[in-house]
Amino acid sequence: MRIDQTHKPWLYFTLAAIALSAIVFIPYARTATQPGGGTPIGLTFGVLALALMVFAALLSVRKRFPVIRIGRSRLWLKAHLWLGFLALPMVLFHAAFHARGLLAAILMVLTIIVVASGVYGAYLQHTLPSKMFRQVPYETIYDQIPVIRAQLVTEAQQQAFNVAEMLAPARGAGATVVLTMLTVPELGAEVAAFGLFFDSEVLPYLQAERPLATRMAMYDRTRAAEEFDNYRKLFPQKAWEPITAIQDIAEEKRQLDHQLRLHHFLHGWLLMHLPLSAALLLLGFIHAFVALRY
Amino acid sequence: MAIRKRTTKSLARRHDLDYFKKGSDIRLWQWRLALVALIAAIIWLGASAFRSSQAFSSGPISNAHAVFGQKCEVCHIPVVSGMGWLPVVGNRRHVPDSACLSCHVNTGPHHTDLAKITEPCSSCHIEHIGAMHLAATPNKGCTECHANLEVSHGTPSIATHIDSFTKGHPDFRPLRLASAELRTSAFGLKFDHSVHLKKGLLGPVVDGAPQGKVTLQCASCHRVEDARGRDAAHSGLMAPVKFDTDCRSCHTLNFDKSVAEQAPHTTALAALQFLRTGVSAAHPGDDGAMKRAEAVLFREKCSLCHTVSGAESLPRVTNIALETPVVTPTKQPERWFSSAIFSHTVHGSVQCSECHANALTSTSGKDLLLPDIKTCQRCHDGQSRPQGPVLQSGHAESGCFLCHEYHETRPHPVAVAQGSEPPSPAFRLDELLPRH
Repeated sequence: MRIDQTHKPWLYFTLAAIALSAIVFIPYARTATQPGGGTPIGLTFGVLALALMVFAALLSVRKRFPVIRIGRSRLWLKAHLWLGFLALPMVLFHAAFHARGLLAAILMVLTIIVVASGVYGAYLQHTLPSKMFRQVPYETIYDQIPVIRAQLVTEAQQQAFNVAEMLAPARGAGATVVLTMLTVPELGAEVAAFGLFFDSEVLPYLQAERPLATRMAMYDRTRAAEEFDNYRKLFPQKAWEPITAIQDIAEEKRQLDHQLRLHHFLHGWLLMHLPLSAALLLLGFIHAFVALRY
Repeated sequence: MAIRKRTTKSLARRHDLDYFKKGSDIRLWQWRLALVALIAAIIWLGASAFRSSQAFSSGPISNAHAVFGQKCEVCHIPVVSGMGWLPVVGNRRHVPDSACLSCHVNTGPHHTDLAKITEPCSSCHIEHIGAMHLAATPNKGCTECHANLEVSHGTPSIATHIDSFTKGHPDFRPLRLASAELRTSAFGLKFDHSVHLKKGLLGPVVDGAPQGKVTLQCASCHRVEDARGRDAAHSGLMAPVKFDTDCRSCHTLNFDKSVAEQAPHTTALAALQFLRTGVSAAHPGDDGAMKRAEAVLFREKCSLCHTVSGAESLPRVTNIALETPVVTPTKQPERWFSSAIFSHTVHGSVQCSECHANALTSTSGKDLLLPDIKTCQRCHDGQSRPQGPVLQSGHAESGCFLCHEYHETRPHPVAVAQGSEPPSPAFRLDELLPRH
């Protein structure tokens, strides 16, 4: 999600909420005997913080059950982003900026990590899609990448076969022999070399998954272009088309690898954000229960 | 490189249309890790709850209550007996006074006859903030009333607008209230501090022989009498200066060279009788010796420090019969600060003259050499927090509790059976200590 002009009202609301909370908190902290989560104002901040966390968690439910049409998902995401962020200052005001007790300390650390990872995720969601649009013209659906990769392998093998077929000497019953004064070069060794190049470098690269593929020669776009150029220089023009097609297939594979990398950046932060949010919510409820009980 | 045909139709054909049924690996790992995090949190909570309730504590308990720090219900008693298991409403979040008073049975309230409100114990004695001294109560508990003091009847006898030690606190009562006449009558001693602090004074005299010159220090006469009191706040009172222990070694009460013993420093009559007995034994029938001895003792020795009425009528001056002279007694108070605690022991690292600077130049016993409030405020400047885990460095604490005690203490009944009455201690040990 891009942080664009439509986020302005949410930004103003968040800033206003923080300012209002600070206006309430500062005189309270200066005059209260022991400002903390147990005082009426501290409890109010605590309840607000927990409510904001619960609301932020509801985004997962909304995503999990898209058939539940309660507001547009774009609106939900905006609310998740800004109200979830607001939970951190509420927690800090609740605890008067220092946690007492192990559970409270863990909760505060979890809140900071969850909100920080959320902010980082929002930054990535803001910047990476446009980067992907620029750098990955062959972008496809992330979950389809293995399927496409397999198709690229088949397509490349077909093109390599085409190269060999085009450059093979005519023989057999239907072959037409044209005698001219020109010297037709023998390309058997070069075709064999191309076949070896395809089997040893191109095909393994197309089949390889990303971490392994990045260590292969074909991942280097410049070096791959040089290799294909060399073969184009060796072979007559009629063979250029399938060679260029193989080069294009390698380029698509390269972009898919890059898409994988960007996608892992784009969504990898959720591997920390979501599990810690779940733990935070559970511990938050237990903290509230214990705090109200004692 | 548009060598490969990439139409929308051809691209669409490449896709596995059932891909969404398989699920994303990243999303799958998100939920797996979320499950792991939840299980880890539950295991940690379970282990913590099984081992102790420390993890759920809102902060470390004070030293005094650490022994039952694992038993929350000792202080957070159930609202209704036996209903402590009830979530949220089962136990009291605020500790009721009854929980405190079950152990602190002799803690009296603060001038109950005048106070308009009495706050609960927990409003001043705040727990779960670490190993702080629980008596180190925040100022707010005091200034809540004393910032704008109202009493239940009559008029307040103390300052009515005290916000802190540095704001509104009047100077110390002896300094405010002791007039010159009052000091004369109260203290009644002729004493020159500046003379006693000179170098090379004549030192103690033993058997009529001087033992050499001395230079006195403050501590030569002023000593802490209870350096090891029940705690730092309740020790360090300066003992009143006594003639027998602090003065007699230099200022002997010998009155005749033939009488080795010195006159007692009790009453004038006792001293006179002692003198007459001693002189009669040493100089039988010698009235002159008697008169000389009486003159030495009362005109020279006693009147050096005391006002001696009748000393002018001693035989050396007139021949009329001697009457017992009247020595005006000193009325040095046992404690100068009757409503406050002060410990010289705690202030032992500071030189005496830092607070009692006037003593170095004082020439009269009428001088009241107590430091004024401004002297104390040089260090106790109100800049440090009176309670909390950290005090602002560079400033001494300025909390009310440092000098004033809140509770009226009642005589502590001995916790043994009185006649047929059985003792009633609050808890058994197994009710306080965690299960192991």
